[in-house]
Amino acid sequence: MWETIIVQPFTNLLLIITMLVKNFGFAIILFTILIKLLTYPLTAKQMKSTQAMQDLQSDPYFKKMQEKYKDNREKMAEIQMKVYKEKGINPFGSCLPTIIQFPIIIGLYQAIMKVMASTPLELANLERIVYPFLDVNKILPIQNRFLWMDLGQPERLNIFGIGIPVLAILVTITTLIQSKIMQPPTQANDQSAAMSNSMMMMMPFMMGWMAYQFSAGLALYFLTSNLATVAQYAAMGRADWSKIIPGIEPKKEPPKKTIIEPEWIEDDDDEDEEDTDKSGKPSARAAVKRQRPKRKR
Amino acid sequence: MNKKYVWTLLLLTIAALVLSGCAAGVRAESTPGLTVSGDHVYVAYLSRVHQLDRTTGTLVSSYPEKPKPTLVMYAPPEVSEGAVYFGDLANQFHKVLDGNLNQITWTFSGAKGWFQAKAAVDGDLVIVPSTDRNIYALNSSTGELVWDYKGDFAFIAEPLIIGDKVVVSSQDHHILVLDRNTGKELYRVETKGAVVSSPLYDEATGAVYIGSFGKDLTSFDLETGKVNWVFGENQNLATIWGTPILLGEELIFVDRAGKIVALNPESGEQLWTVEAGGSVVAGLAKVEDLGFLVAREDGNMIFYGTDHATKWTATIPGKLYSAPIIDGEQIFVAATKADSILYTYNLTGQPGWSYTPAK
Repeated sequence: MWETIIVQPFTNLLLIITMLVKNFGFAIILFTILIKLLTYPLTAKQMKSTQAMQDLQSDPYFKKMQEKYKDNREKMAEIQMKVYKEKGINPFGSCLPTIIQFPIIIGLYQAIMKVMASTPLELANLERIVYPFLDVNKILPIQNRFLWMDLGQPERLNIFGIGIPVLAILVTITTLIQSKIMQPPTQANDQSAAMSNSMMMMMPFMMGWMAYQFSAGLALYFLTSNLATVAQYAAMGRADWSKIIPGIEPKKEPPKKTIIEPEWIEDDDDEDEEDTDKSGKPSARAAVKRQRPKRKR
Repeated sequence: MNKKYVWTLLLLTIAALVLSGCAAGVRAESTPGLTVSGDHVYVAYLSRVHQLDRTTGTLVSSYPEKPKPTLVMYAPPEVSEGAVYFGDLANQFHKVLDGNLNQITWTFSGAKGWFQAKAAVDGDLVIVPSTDRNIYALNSSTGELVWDYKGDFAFIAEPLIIGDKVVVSSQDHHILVLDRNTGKELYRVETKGAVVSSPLYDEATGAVYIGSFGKDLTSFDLETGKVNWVFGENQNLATIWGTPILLGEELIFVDRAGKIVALNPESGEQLWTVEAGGSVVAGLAKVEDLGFLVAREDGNMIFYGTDHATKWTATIPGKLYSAPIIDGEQIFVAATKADSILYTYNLTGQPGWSYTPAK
C-alpha cells in the first residue's frame, strides 16, 4: 500500500521529469523543488504554529502562570487549554504538518533510490512499478552522469589525484546555514537553547556523513532540499542572515503583543481563592462573583 | 536530561537508521550469482562467495573467511584453469585459487564502480564488465590492465569472447563488438532497447541472438555485423531479460510477462508460443533432447518437454531472478527472499539439497 500510494507515483513523476529534461541530475533538483512547493502550505502552517508557541512560551504572564501552578499540573493544563482556545493556538500545529510531510520526504527519498537502480534486480523492481502509459524502453536505463558525478555512486571530485567529496562538504555547509537561519531567538539560560545548539552542531555533520556515504544522487537531493528550505524561509521573511553573514544587522523582531492577558491570572486567582463559609460551601460572595458577567476579550 | 532533547536525539537516530538501512555504504540489492564448474558450485551472495560440493552441498571454502558487513558480492564467479575470478561492490576484482578462495593471486583495484556481472576468461585475458561504464581487459596471470573500453552506461551482463572478438551487451541500446586484443570497437548493432542479458552465440551458424528492453530479439552475423532479422514488431511482447536458448532446431526465449516464444533461428519466423503464467526475469535453462526450464519470478518453475508441453513443476518459497543452471543430472536454482539461497533438483523435478549460509 505504501508503495502504491506514495513510492510508485513519486517514482513515475521523477521518471516523467527525467524524460522531459533528459538529465537525471536536473530531474532530482526539479523534483525536490516541486515537492517542496507542494508541501509549502504545510511548511508555512508549521512555521506559523511554531512561532505562536514560541511567543506563548516567552510571554511573561504565561511564565508567571507556569510558576504559579508548577505543582498543579491539572490546573496548569486546564488554563493552557483555555489559552489555546481563546487565542486560536493549536499546540499540535507545529508537529502535525511535520508528521504529514514525513511520509512525503521518505517517499521522495525512496523514489530517488528506486530510479537509481543499478543492479539487475533493482532494474526489475523499477520496471514493475513504471506506469503502463510510460514506455519503459524510452526511460530505461537512466543516465546517471551529471556534471562530474556518477549519481549512482558516492561522489568524489578528483583534484590532483585526491578524491574530494564536494557534495558532502556542500551538504554539511548548507545544513549548517539552514539550522542557523532557522534558529529561533532564545534566551541564554534557556534549556531549549542548549538543546537547539547541540542539534545545530550535530545535524550538519550527520547529513554530511550521509552525503559522503550515499550515492551522489541522494547527496544532490539533500543539497537541493537544504537550499530550497533556506529559500522558503527567506521568502517568508523569517531568515535571519545576521547569524551567518557578519556585518549584517540582526533581524529586529517586531514588538510582541502579550498573549496572556493579566486579567486571566487575576480572574483565575479569584476563582482559585473561592470563598467558602464555615461548612465548606461556596459563600454568597462567590455566588455573586459567579453571576457577574464575563469580561469580553 | 530534557525530555525534548532525548526525543529529538531518538528521532535523529531513527532517521539515520532508516536512511542508512536504505543506502549507507554499499547500497544494492541483488540476486545470488551462481556458477557451476566441475565438482563444485559457486554462489556469491551478500558478504561472501561460497564454494560448495555439488553432490552434497557441503561448504568447501568461503571468501572472505569471516563476513565483512562492508563487502557485498553478487557477480557470478568465473572458474577457469584452477582459478576463480570474481568482483565485489567495493570495486575490487580478485583472482583466487580454486579450492581455497582466500588464497588471492591478485586483485585489480582500478575500477571506480561495482562489479556485478560475471567475467569472461580466455587464455591470458580476463574481460571484466564494471558499473563504472568500463569494460576492463586484464592479464589473467598478473591482473594488470591490458585495455579498457569506455561506454555510456553501466555494464551488467557477462561478455562473450569468441575468437578475436568480444561481444558485450550494453544498456545504450546496442550490442558492442570489440577487438579482443586492443579493445577497439569493431562495430555495434542497434537494438530497440537496453540490453541487460548476455548474448547467445551459435557456433554452427556464426549468429548472435540477443533480446532487449525494446521488446525485440535480434539476430546478427558476428563476422560481418549484418543483422539477420529482428523479431518483435507487432508481437505484443514485454521486455526481454534473459538469454535465449537453442534447443534442437528452435530458438526459444521468454519475455518479462512470461510469454515463451520459439523461433526459427535462421529466419526469425515464429514457430509456437506458450504462456508461463507469470513474470519471468531469470530466463531459461535447457537439457538437450529433453526440454527446458522456466523460472518464474514468483518462485514457480516449469519444465517443458521438447514438444513444449509441461512435464513437471516445482515451487521455491522465494523469488527467482537468476537463470537456473542445468549441469549433468542436476538443476541449480539461486533464490532471493527464500529460506535458502541455493536449491537443487534432479531432471524430474525432485528436490535435492539446498544451501543456507551460516550467519
